[in-house]
Amino acid sequence: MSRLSFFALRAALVAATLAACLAPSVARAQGAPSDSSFDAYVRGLSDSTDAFFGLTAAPPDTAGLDSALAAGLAKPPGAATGRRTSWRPSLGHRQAFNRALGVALGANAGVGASREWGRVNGWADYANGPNLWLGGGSYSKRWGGEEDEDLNYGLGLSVSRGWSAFDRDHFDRLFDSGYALLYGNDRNHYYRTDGAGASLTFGRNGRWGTLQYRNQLESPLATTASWNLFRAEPAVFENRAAAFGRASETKITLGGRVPRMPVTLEAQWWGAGGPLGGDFDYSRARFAAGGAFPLGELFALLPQVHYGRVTGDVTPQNAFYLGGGPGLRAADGKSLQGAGAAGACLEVLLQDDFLHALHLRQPPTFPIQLSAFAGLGAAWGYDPVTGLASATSANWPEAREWQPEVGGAVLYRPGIPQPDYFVRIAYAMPVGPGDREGRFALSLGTMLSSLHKR
Amino acid sequence: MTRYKLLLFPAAPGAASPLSAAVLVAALVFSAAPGAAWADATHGPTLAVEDTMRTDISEVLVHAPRVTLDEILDRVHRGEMRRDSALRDQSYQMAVRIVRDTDGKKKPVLVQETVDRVYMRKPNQSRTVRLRDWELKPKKDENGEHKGVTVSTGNDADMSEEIVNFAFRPANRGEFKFRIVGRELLGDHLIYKIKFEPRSALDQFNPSGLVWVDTHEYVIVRQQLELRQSPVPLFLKGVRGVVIERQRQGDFWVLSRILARMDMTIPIPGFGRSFDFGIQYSDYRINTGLPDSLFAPAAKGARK
Repeated sequence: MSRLSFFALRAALVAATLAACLAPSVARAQGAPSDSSFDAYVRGLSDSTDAFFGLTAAPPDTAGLDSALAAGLAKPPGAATGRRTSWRPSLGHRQAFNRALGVALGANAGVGASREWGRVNGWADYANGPNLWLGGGSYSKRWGGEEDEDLNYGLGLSVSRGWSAFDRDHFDRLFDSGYALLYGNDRNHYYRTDGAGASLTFGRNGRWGTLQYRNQLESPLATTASWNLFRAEPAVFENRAAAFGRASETKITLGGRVPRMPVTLEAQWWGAGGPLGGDFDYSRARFAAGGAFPLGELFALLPQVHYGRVTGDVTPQNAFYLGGGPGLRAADGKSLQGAGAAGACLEVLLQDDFLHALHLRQPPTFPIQLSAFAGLGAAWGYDPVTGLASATSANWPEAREWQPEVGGAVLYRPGIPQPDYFVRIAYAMPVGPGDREGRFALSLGTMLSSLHKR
Repeated sequence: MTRYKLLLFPAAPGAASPLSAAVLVAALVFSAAPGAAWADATHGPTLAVEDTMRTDISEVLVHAPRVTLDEILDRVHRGEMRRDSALRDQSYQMAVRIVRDTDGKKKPVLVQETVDRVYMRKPNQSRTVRLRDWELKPKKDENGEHKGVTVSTGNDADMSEEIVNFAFRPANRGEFKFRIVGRELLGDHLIYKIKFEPRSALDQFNPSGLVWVDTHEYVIVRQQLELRQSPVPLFLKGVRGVVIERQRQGDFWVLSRILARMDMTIPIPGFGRSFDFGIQYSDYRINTGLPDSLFAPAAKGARK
């Protein structure tokens, strides 16, 4: 090999080596190989999806689609569908049962679109107990975005002859009617309302608020029905008399989730009398907080607290009621009342089906969960003889008024009517002095029942 | 490494000196480390102290900005908003499929497939042309004939693809915990893999997910969702996998496929206990300036 050819070979080798070394950076500068490696990566992920889903992921047969599209485009578009459908009238039925009204059956009808000109609703019920027609009408209008991140407002106006329960913090018309109708386990007391009201609501990013005003005549109702389907002894027979008078009341509600924490706060204030007029003069405030913290993969820690206080005129329909709920499950439902109430509960919930968690069965069709809780609650500001709520200057219960308890529950979450509703069979055992007894309770509701919205 | 020294002594050409041969053997025996042969048998190979192998790596000053997870989440949201704001109109073909018997015991069977051509124009116009409506057991209409091509219009022209970016929206971000679980450097594409899960222990029926974010434009290119608990355990036993894929169409990332496998607690007539649900999007046309005639309201009395 001549010196010249040897040099040429070395030069070629060096050039090839340099080219090989520089190739990635040159290619990167041009962009093509880098995009292709990215595309290959994305395609690889898609291929694994294809393998998992098989037939479902296969592309559709395109035969005949072009001619179908030509035929479809030749047709007129037709009338628009979607939001305008809400202008169509709606018709529904209403039903309720309790010992003051007996069976209340009725209907409601609505027309309009709340995000356009507004929606008008009307309803009428007949209550066979007091032989009374109830009814009313409302108008609602909404503004703002439909997404959670958009600020949205709502206006509501209503006029009605209706009814309500004394415990304004924990009353569910549907479930409490069901308990009363099935086996007479209804410990609410009811009164009639006649008047008008208005409300402004707003919400954004998981925070909400309302400003409400109502001017209603509140009047007592008597017990008219003591029967139930299973002919059980009613838990309470008497329907306590409400204080008669006109309530001119403002209510403010603020609530929302704490940023970056699984905690929800809720504050409510009611004010009546003074410049608003009316027969009652009171100020009522309630605060509640609850959270759901993960404890590893299997458990959740659920603390909740609530505090309420009413000053001024204390009536049965603005008092606080305790019992059967968080912090005081060992007491009968709404068996304690007062001008003030406070409670706290700490619960540990097993997140998984308990047999699956013990590796005793596969993920089951009907997962059963368990929980253990400890809590305490107290009501103060009541007549020591009758137990009925009365005015007090105390803002906190005395030590002897606290009622601690511990217990456990078996839970099933059916997913209806809301995904976070549990059917709960709980046993609560009082702790400390006194002759209180343990109690089983069946309930349906959220785990953080001190809160109205989570 | 075992060290062998081979000592070579010059020998007279053409003849081997017995002396030098003896010296060579002796040198081999003594220099070949007394333990070498034994070590192989008893202790394995002997390793050298690599005191002659030194490498100096100079410090590299990284100029690339370091971003926090929050910043990444912000950029993803901005990227998705930017994508949405650049879309004026789009049309695509959408195929919806339901496949039963997907639990592996029987052969999967396609039970329903619909194919639509969808046109959308901001702010609020849409039109859908049904191109195919196939069922394994077709229902008959009043005339005993299967329905043909149908056309409908609507007010929904939302192209923001919320199903892809719901967790990154400001209204929802506080509801989820995020963490970076991986990075892939593919050419000049940096892909972040971000996992999210419900922050509240009582929201385990809300989706957890893993998203692939291309930091070129901070758009989500793929998402896998899972539900740790069924939202409706009474009817839905669980969802074994939800995959949402996007594809690039020109300057935009748009939906490509949504696939889910579901198990029911009780069999649904026609679908069974386990079935797949899939939506495939294809044949996109973006910002082509769709004509008004596509969305013109029908004349009074016109047949739909």
